[in-house]
Amino acid sequence: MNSIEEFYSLDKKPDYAEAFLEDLSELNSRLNAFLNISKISGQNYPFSVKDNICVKNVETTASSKILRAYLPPFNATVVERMLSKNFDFLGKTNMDEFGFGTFGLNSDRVPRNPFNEDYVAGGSSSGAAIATAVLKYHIAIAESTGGSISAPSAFCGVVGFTPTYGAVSRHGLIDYANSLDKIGLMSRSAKDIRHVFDIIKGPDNYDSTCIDIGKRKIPESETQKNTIFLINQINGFLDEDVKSHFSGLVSKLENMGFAIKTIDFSLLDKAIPTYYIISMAEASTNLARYTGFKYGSKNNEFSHDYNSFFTESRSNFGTEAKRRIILGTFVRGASVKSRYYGKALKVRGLLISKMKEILKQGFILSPTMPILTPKIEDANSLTPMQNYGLDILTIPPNLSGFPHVSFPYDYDKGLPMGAQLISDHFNDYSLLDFVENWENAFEYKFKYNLGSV
Amino acid sequence: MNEQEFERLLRICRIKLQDAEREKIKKDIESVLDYFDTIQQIDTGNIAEQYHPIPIDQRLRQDSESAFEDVDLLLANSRTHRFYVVGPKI
Amino acid sequence: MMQAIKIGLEIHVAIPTKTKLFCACAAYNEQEPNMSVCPICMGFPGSKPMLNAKALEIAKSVANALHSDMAKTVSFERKVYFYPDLPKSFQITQLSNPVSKGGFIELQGQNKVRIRRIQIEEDPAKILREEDYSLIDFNRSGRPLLEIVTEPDISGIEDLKEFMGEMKSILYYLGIDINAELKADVNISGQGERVEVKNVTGMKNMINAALFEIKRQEAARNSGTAISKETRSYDEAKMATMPMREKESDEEYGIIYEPDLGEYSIESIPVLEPVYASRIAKELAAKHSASEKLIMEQIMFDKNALQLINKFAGMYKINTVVSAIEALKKYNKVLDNAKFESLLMAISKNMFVSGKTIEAIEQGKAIEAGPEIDESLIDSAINSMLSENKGLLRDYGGNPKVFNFVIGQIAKKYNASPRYISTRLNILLPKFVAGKED
Repeated sequence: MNSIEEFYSLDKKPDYAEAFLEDLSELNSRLNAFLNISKISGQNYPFSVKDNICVKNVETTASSKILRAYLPPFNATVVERMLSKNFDFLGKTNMDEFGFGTFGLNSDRVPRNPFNEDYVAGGSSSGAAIATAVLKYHIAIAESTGGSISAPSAFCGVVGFTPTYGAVSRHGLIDYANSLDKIGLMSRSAKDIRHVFDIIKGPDNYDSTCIDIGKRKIPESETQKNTIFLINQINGFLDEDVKSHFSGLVSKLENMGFAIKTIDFSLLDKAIPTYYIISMAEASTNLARYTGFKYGSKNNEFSHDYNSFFTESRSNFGTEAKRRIILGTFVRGASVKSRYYGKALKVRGLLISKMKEILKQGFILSPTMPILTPKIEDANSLTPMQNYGLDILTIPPNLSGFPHVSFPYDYDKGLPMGAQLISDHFNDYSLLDFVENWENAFEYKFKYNLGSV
Repeated sequence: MNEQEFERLLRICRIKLQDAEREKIKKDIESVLDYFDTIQQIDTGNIAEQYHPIPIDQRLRQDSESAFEDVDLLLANSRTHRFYVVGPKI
Repeated sequence: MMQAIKIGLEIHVAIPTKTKLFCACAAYNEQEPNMSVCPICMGFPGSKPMLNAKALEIAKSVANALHSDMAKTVSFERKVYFYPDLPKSFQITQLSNPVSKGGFIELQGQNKVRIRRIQIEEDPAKILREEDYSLIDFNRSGRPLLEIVTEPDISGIEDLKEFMGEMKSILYYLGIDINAELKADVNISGQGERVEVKNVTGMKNMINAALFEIKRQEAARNSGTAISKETRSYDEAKMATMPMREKESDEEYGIIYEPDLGEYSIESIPVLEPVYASRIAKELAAKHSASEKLIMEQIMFDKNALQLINKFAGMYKINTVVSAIEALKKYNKVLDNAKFESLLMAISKNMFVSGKTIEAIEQGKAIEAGPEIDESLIDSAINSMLSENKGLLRDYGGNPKVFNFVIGQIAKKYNASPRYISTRLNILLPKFVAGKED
């Protein structure tokens, strides 16, 4: 039985919803998972939506001041599909502004790790991960561009699933980088994810890049399903603590019958600059539309010359957003474009073909993050370069559009640790099979279980 | 990047930086660009620029009209004047 | 000495689809502002473009008509710049993989104006300037545009007129509304640098802009000033080109691939067959020993006229067919082929055609075939009118219109065709004038 079926079989008290919302509101005031909470009835299974995904008539800001008070006149396709299957919208979840961040800290309301409030929840889908970690019956609609589902899932001890690029419609997703953004799911079990993935995935007239993964899937061999590759180069980037925990996981998997192989992938760290060049170039064009008069925060000084007006309005971007817009604008400038944007696109092609060679033979497994969960104050003191570098393990599948899943595999001083499994394009369900299997052997621990009876 | 180039770059993307943050952000950007330069070393041979990670289906829309139902909600997000959207002076 | 003028054009033509390029909003509507809008054409966050198949079809037909080399697949790019009428602050357009490259339009005398490229792009919104703000109407935003870029092969004003005439005729026959504003960037160079005059609307302004610019450049050359490469705008009121604000030319478009769209194969898209009206006019004129100019005037922008002339040119004189067409236009009537032929017969009998005549034909009644025109009767009528109205000869001065009333009078009295009378008048007039020299 998945959680949804369990939920509908529950014997709920009449004040279930009221009590639930009260508890959630109280906890949320500390953890900042939700930017707004909807008054649900308690009759239907709740889902939360990352704040960069449009919900009709509900303030949607992508955690940015520049979109404050934006009320979308339409639902994102994924939201429509959830509502049509009688899921109840619970609220918008906190995130790094426009998706720019690994720790959730680029937000006005600091999201906190439910296992220990001094620690980060991860980003950019910080709120989604926190909500999943504190709510017994709930599924989170989240989004990943460079690792924004994996990272917070690992830090918050939940399952975070990022499908193949194009599997889920991006209509209604406020763009960070169109060739990299993917809508995905977070939950406490692979079974739940499977159930909801079936509902949200599939072609949509409103998104030209959305495809049918079922039509493209190539059947896997048994060997492929039972083989796990570890990339040698990763060891050079891992914290000692992470290394030792992770080797425990590898032993377990070996005992479970997987063939563990090591392999070289020398291009691994080159994925980071490649990813950032492409994502920033695209982001700088996506964010050009925020000029302070059609939606979001309004600039009332219309009599100022339009260029001044735009520049004034755009002071509402946070620092990281400004950095990325400036860098993104630079790398697509005519005089340097082929060096940066053009070259990065070629490297992407190369990376995809190299990774595909491995993925044709089995999964790729690594820790999700190279470090243990950092304290909020420590994460705040990282430089931009240090921040970017910590995405080393999540960027390769994100850049290449390969489906991947982060699942909890251990706890270090009470804080969860996640591992990330990558599969070939269109093999999304194999990942869910793996995690479902893993869940038979490993029980996830949670500090809160709001909504349980 | 010299001051003039940086200034021009900011103008192009309509971003203004406060004095306090300006120096720091400029340095950040310079070090990130140095980092970006490292991809030059990679031998990409004859590989083509890859715009999407997977091949995209060719999807076209038929030329038949379908009016958006919630134009009111759309326009409620802007300041309007006699049905026009108000914008900055040109 | 006049330097060789080189003019190149970037013409923007509205593609006649029902819906916009990337959304299903009606493309053409004369409604209140902001009625035909949606999140896509207003650039709302979360919206994505959906490409209109019809726009590809029409674009391909135009490219085909201009003998352009068709792309196998097309794709789109983002061109970033900031202006209140551009909802996403970038325009989705085509740069690397446009619909087609190359091609030409043939002018008289073997002149060819080469086409460089043809691409599809979206229109920005309409913006009105007020004193302390602007007002924006997004009804127009997202309309599909075809941009046709020529090489600088147009060598002067006459060429420009002829080229635009040819272009408009070809577009007309492909179903494109040529009465809608045709916008162009006009690039002019003498022997110096190229000057670009942006956003000129309509033929008249294009010609005036070119005239002004040619004169300006010549004056500069004569006074020893160099012409620098620049972008200018055209001021309709002053009928002059003006330098453009500097910051606009400092824009950096930062073009990238449009990642919300893929590549689209246009190979199997069917094309509408082109019609080269000027070529047809030339052929018909030669075949029937008629005036090429006369035929061209009729058929360049009138498919009805083309159909009628094609059908009846062999059986009746071209002049007769043209008269019939003009008569229909004058009285705002349409006749089927059979009835049209009755009209042709009447005209070839030199019958004077009035509104009543056409009505009769329309109703299938027999028309009074008046008595055969007595030529001598007409001649003497002309002679007496000329004698009685000496003032006319004085006012003549080479202007035939002076005699229109004479012709009209005689036509009415004798139920004869004005054309016939005019022909006789042209023959008799010199004799009369000569005769009067005493």
